Amino acid sequence: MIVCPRCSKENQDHYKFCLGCGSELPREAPSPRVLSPQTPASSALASAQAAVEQAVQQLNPAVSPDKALQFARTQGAEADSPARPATPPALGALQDVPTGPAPSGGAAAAVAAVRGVGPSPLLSSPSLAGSPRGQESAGGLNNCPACGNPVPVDFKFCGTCGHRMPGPLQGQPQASAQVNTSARPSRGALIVINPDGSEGGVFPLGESGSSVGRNHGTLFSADAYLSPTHATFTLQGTSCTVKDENSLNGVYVKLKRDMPMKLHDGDIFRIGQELIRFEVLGGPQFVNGVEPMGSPNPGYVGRLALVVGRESYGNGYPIPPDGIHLGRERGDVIFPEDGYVSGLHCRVHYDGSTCVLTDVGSSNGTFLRVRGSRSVVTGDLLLMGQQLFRLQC
Amino acid sequence: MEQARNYVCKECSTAVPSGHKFCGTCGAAVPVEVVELRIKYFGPMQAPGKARLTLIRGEGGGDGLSYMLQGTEHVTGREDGQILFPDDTWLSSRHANFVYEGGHLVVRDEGSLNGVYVRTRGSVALHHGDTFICGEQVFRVDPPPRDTAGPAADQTYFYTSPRKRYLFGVSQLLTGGGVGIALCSTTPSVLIGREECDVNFPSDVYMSGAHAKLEIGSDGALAITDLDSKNGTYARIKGHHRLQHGDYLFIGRELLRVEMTG
Repeated sequence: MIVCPRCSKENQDHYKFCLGCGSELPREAPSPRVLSPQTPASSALASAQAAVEQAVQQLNPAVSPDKALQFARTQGAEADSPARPATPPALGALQDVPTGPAPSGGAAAAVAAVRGVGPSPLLSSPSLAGSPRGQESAGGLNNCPACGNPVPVDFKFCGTCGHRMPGPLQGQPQASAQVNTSARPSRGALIVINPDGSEGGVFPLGESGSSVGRNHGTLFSADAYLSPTHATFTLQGTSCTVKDENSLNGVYVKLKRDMPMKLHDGDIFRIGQELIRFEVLGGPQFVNGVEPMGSPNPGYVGRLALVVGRESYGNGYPIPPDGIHLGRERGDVIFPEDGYVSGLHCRVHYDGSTCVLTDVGSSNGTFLRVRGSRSVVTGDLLLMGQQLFRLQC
Repeated sequence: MEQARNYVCKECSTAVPSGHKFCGTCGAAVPVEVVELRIKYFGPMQAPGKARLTLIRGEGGGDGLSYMLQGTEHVTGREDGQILFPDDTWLSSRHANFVYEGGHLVVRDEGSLNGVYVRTRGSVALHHGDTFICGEQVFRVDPPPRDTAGPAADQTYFYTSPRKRYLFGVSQLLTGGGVGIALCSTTPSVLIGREECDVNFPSDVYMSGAHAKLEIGSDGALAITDLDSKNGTYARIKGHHRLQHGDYLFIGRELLRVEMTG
């Protein structure tokens, strides 16, 4: 439990921002105990540095990825903890908090390190270690090319994600232009939005199609939730087409507030940390003239199911024609434990011909997974892997 | 003066012991009505060890009708049998059978699609896939969702909603097929009712406030217990089930009460 220093509301240990007032919570509170079973609970306030080192050690590339995963899972299972590899990507970014340099100390940073380093043995691969990608910005800080957080110039590793920082710039104008956070490209780009709301690395997009994924640049290489080739962006005039390259976790686009979006059978959307699948409910299926017995069906138009694995679903809710609301505190389906879900978040209802999903003013947005490909425009927010991007065309 | 205890032969006036079909002295036949005389009940409803079914609530509006189970087989169904409910689309044409086995009334599922549900007494053990009824709702108990969130062959991690330690699931089955509400429980017991339970059905007027409790033991065994609800909890029988006086059964939409006589 973290008591908010500003409004005194009690928040769960893994929250980064206060549920009551939205201010950033002190970072030492989330206990590193979930990171290291070997560490006694008393060392819960161990420095972030130590935690990072430990995490790196435990998850060093010599450990088989399976083991690393197992570790991460065990930790995750222990306490709904942020160490879980599936901690919400960058969703906190949209929280209403003062933006500023991301604090790189505290256990949250260690957590980020686990996320970044744990699942991706790629990080320490020599091919990635040498190439210069950082760019000096104001105040003797470089932005980490992997996670976008500021890193003092004399640091060899990023304090947030453990990425090996490139050496002093040796004049590679092209490479540095790609990740320059101060000079905005004139043409299309994906711009990383950091968990604190600031903008991080920039990935330029071209008209001939630009692929993103773990094998496509340092912005993505550390994100274990991205497929090697995840999606392709093709600029077309003032818009852009994003095509999901059969990625494992998909590409999500944030809905505009109060703008209903049509749902198809099998569509997946995300609110907070929750991944939800929509399915159409079929009509009665008689078997040899006998109707399957069951509960009264008041005309349900569809159903929502929580995705908890591949083809594996947790809680499910039928959708009556007048719709259901989803939220953390209000609505028909509530997620009281997910601090990234707004009190009242989104709605699914039947508009007379089809089921639609509407964001009803959530803080962190409602993200709908792209089916195949779709057109996106400047300002659209996209969720891929663990990162949130702003699109610029 | 005394009354003869046996039939007296009308030919030779010899007394014929009861049970004999012919006179032992003259060989004359004893009349059939004398030989076959049996004590009768005033009405068939008095027959001992026999049962009747009373329709408490039925699709066809025959509430209160009684069906005497005097024969050896009493097939219930939509088209084929002795006790028919042609309007009930939940019934298979030959659905269930009531028979006497060793003097006990037994209901047997004749391989019907929707099965036979008997009102529970005490706790009833359930297994994954078993179904039960509370109020108007039909439920199925499920295994916890499979953990299939491991990384892909290319070492991409699969994103899921935050996983919890699920113990078992319970799903609401909708008429016509399909699942409505599904709950994956992280606690060993789940309360089902109209309000303030773990699964609530506020618009089901046949559901009591707290209707039934579904729980999993430390050994992983599941059981359903009715919480003194007004209308009871019904569990689907497997194969056949011995009935006793006062049992209630759902066969399709037909609710029947078992009454034993004698």
